[in-house]
Amino acid sequence: MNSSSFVSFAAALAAVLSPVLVSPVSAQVGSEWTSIHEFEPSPERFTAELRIGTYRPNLEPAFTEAFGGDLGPMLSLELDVHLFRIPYVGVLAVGGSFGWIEWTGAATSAAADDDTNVGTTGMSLIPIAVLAVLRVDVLARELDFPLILSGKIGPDVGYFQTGVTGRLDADGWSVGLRWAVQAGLELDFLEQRAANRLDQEWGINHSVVFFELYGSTMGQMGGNMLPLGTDLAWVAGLQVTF
Amino acid sequence: MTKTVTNFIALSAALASLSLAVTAQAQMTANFRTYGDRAAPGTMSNLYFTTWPVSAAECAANTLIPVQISMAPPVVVGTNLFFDVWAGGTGATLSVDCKPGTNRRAVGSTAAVCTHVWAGPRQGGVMQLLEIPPQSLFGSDCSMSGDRWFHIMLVGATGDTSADIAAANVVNVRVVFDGTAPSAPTNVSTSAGDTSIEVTWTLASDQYSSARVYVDPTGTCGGGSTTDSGTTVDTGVSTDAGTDVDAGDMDAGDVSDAGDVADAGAPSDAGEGADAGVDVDAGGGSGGGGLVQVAVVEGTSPSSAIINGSTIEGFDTGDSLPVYVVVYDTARNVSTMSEAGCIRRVEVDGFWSTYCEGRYDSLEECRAAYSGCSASPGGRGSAAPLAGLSLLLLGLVARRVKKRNP
Repeated sequence: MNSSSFVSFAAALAAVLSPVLVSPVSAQVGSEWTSIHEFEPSPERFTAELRIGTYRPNLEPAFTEAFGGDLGPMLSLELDVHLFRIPYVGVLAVGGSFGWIEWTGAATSAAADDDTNVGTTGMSLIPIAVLAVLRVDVLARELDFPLILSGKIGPDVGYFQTGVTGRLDADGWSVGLRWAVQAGLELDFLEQRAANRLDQEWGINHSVVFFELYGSTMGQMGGNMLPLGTDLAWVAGLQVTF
Repeated sequence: MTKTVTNFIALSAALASLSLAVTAQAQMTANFRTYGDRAAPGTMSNLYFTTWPVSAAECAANTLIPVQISMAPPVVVGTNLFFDVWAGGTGATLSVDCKPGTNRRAVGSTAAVCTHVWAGPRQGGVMQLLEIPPQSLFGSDCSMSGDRWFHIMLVGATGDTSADIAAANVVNVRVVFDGTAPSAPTNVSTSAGDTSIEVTWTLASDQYSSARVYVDPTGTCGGGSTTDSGTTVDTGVSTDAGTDVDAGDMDAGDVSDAGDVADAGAPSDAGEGADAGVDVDAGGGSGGGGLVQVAVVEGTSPSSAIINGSTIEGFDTGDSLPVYVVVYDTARNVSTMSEAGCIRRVEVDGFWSTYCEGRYDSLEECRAAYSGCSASPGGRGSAAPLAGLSLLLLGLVARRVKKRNP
């Protein structure tokens, strides 16, 4: 190859490669001014639930006779601490739940059936549970399908009081086991940018509305305990991970 | 630039808050000028009330009007200060500028002559209770009605009359003379019950402060009230033997007439608490018994009360007793006694009775079986959940320590 040919080849090569060599540089310079920083989610450490639902203990038929169809409602809070994440499954957590419910009905006169206005009878229950929680969020994390499935199990302790207006008849504790299955709809898909902003500003990674079915064997596992457990109850609410 | 703007906003907010706080403080207290010793006596405010109702009976007895004064620094304990009280005027503020301790108006003032009616030394401390006789303020004519005002000032060292007391530097107290007793409650209705028996009644129109409920432990319910569900007003009580309860027999404001039913020992002030068991007619009733106060209801609309039947001596399950109500207005005038209602004590069943029925011989046995025992936090039944909880807590702590010291 003579010198003129070499020069011609070099010029042609430069002409061919120039867009490849130059354009990344110019694009890089431009990105300093126009690119959007990639969203980095904050760490997920806790999950909190605000819950409302119904509950009727296994005290039939006296319960229905005294309180009729009173369903509560049951108000409760739950806080889970994330222990670790199982890859492609979800989060394993341990949590505590604290609730309150009260049922009321009309008291009756023991002597005369015609006394319809003799005050009220009531019963209140404070259930406290410590739960192991497996929250399966692989569908939402890996497949962008906003469904969270959870399972919970743990000891359930309840304190009850019952009486009529102005008089406490009895109070005590019952212990049992609680289980629950939960399906949640992750709300991030509705407005992903708003969800990201919530995370950036408040550290809330995900918001979920959920429905949960649960049962309890409180007072039904032996001992002289009032059977405050229930075969099946439901609760719904809002859940946030932060 | 952004940081500067942020700092400016924060500083402005802080200054605004400070300004609001100072303004609020200024509105809460009255400022006083310096007299005599030229040392500022500080500020003072009237605690607890600015309007004081006075009944005709209290006026006649010259019952002291209590005014609780709070003085803010720089009041010095032992400083020679005294309170001056001027009476008169129909407004919320003193309409003239007065000279301390005199009836003279301020130099240059064209206002009317001041009426100086009462003075008292300040006895040290930042709290001072002034007890002012109403007759010293407004004379002995207790048939008056409507509003009167008096004005309290804190004055510096004696002998200094050079300075004037401005109308703005006073604590103003409104006195409302009320010589009319409220009407007796009507439509006294009751519910049957055990530890909770509700009594309701209808109020007439007045400014009420409280109501008191009495039962006659030796009386009987007349008419058909005992066979009704506790909701019928017993209007036949005035004919009951053994009771000396007549509507209108209770003097308004008269607490010393031994001939009346609800007099000796009867409450004479609206702030008195319930004293169930007090015989308010010590031997005065023709039947040898007396009314027992069983409830006090405070408030501007005291129209119901809850009676605990178990606290009334001799009121056993199945018994009925006549119940009466009197009401007090804000000037502590008391109404005549209401017509009688009829309370009835019955055994009340609730959920627990229903649940235990058939399971145990008695409610006590049922309660003993379920209350606490093996399921209580200290019992054996709680060992498993407590152990589980402890393990979980230990695991959390261990994990935390491991994360800090990998």
